[in-house]
Amino acid sequence: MIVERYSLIGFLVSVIIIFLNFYLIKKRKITSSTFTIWLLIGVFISIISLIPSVYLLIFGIFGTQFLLSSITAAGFLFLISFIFYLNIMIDNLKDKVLKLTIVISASKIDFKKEKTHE
Amino acid sequence: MSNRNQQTGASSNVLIFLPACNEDKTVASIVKEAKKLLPNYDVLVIDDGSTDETASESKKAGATVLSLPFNTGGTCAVLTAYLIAVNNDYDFLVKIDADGQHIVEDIPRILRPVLEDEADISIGSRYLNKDDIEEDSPLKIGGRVFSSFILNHILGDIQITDTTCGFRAWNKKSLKILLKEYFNRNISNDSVLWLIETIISKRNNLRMQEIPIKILPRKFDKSKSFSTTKMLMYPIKLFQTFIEAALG
Repeated sequence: MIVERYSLIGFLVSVIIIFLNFYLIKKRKITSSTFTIWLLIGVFISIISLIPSVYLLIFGIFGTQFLLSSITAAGFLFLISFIFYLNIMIDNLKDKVLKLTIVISASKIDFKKEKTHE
Repeated sequence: MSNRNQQTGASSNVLIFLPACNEDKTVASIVKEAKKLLPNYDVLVIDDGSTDETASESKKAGATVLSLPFNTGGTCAVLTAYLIAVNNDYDFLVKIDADGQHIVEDIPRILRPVLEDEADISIGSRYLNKDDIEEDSPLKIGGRVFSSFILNHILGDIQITDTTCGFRAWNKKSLKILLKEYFNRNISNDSVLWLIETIISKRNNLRMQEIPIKILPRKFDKSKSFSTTKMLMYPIKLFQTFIEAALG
């Protein structure tokens, strides 16, 4: 029963991640690299959610099959969401820095002035 | 003739640019050759965070040099050149690699379609002249076939044989359109820049024409575009490009 509940939550989270991912790339808020990484993460979460044997196997590996509490699950989901948010922010800032570099660098070259001096 | 040329009395309205990162062994000879062969054209070297003598060697050879503050990747250097060409009222822009793989004598051939208004963008192709095709590694052939397949069959019949060639020429109209498009999206990875540019150009009804060229083997160092890591990541990058293109 517990597994079923967590499977449903995990599947919902993966759907939200995949949907957000597509929405954000369409709005050009993330790079294609970030999109690919999060698409893979979303698909991975949905697989482990929908196939309980995979889900239980992973829990077995980490030894958490009897310890998964709502706090652990909430912490895991918070961590995933926070990393996703940070990824979007990093993409935006990187893009802004590169565009700023282009504009500032381009403004340093003035061929009109150079020709006049010649 | 453009206002800039009327003001300055210069006959050149073509800017040749070379993005260069640690190419001090080859860049000077290319600049000198370009200056000798095409004395009316301005030559700009965009030093993309080199740690060697690329900037000083280019300056000594007679080029105007712009040193970017850090290594930004190829895309930024190219977009900076687009912006410089537009800001300085150049009518045409040509890009040639600084590693000596492109032949300087081919510049007039690459320029011809845009100068004669047959095309907005002229693209060099290693694969148009089948006699000149050298043996490539299976990885390179796979990447080429895959990118050509995406362009020609999925994204709508763009008949481009060499999707990764950086030996290109643009007219002012295409530069303005491309800059606007690039500034409205995230800066793309340099390994798929030309693929994305082809898609953007097609969407904006820019006329593209391919010109057969020959690519010389690198004399020094290894190619930055075809490192093993980049080659292995290329299918993933192509997938990302396809997703971006499909989403519009």
